[in-house]
Amino acid sequence: MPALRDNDDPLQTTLDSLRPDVERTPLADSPSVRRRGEARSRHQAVAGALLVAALVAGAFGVADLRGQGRNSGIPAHQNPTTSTSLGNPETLTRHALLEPAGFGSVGGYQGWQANPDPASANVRVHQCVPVPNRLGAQQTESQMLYDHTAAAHIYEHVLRFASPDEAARADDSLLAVLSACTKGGSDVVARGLEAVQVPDADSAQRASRSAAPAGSEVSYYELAVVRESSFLVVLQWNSMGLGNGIDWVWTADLLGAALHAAVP
Amino acid sequence: MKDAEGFDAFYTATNRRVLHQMYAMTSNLADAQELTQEAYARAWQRWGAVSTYDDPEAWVRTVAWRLAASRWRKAKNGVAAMLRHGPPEHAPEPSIDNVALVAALKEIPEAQRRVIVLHHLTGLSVAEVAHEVGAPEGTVKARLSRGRAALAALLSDATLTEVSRHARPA
Repeated sequence: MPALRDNDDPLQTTLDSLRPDVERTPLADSPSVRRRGEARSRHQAVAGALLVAALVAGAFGVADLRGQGRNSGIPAHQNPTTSTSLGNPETLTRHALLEPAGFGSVGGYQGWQANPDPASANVRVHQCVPVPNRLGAQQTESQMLYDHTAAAHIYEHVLRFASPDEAARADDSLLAVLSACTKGGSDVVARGLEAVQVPDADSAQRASRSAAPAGSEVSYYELAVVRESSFLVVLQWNSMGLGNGIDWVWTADLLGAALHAAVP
Repeated sequence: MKDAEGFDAFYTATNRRVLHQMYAMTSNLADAQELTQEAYARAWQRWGAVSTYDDPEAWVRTVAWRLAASRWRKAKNGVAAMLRHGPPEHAPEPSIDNVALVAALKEIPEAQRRVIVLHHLTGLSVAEVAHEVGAPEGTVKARLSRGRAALAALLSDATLTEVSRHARPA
């Protein structure tokens, strides 16, 4: 509830003086606003269907390439699932993923909730970055979170590989793919790879891409990968722009927290 | 089935307030009009959830602000939208009495403008503003103080001279 205001506050009085402008400005009636919302939902459904079709087509394309014996440089998981364990005595912690409440305010976005469907995290967030669960890890945990406006999404994947060398190869390949990516048009602004100092990590790097295609909202994507021994934590961020004054979403503190949650 | 009657009542009761807040935050009546309507359209898309929130109006305001911030960043990224599309047709203009105030609001940083509107126009406490913008209370107080001082410097009339005297952390 709004707090009581100070009637003697001259700034409040000054801002109130904008009211006549507001009163004479027409707004659509409520049914028109609802129709606009429904039209937006329909457009999003169509865009979603097209995206799924593109992903399916992409998956067939990858399968075709494998069939021809080509190697993309990224280890491929034979049976990708949301959470699997092959019985290796070294395992992820019981609660390997960050709690939604632990994210607090990220990039100016807050009120994080986890999508109850674990498969929601297993999507390609950036067109050049493969789904982390398909990098050949022996054990994986993943989650997708969204802020209270559903304008920002976090995808967290915690992966355990058979050996530190395999984890390092997956780490290198994931980052190399984004570095080499030229998709998205000439208006894409790229940052990174940038090394981040994270205690206990063998490696921590991040990179971002933002784009403002004509007629669309600004999109912002940020990838961070933290590695320790045979463990890899992959964090992806996707939103409309970023909050004021935010430089990087994936700070050393957040990356450290994610790593420590995952590694026993 | 979404509750259209509930949404209509909410829209009618709150839309002028949100428009007023967005006008002060964006210093542009046409932008405020468009952002307000778009934010309510998005609220209707998720009305099943939004209607259960403690303060659905805050949700609408936050979405409208994010849309505004996204547009500003897009402009800063060099996408010359105005060059391509030109100014919106029939864009409402500020009244002659408010030209100076609107110009002054436009001069101060977005983050300061936002907290000033939330605190002084919307009537939120510093703690509530901090929650809504996702910043520490100390940061909000500093933005309020700087924003008020900047506005006072930009507006020289007697009323706003008082603002400078109030230009201290709330």
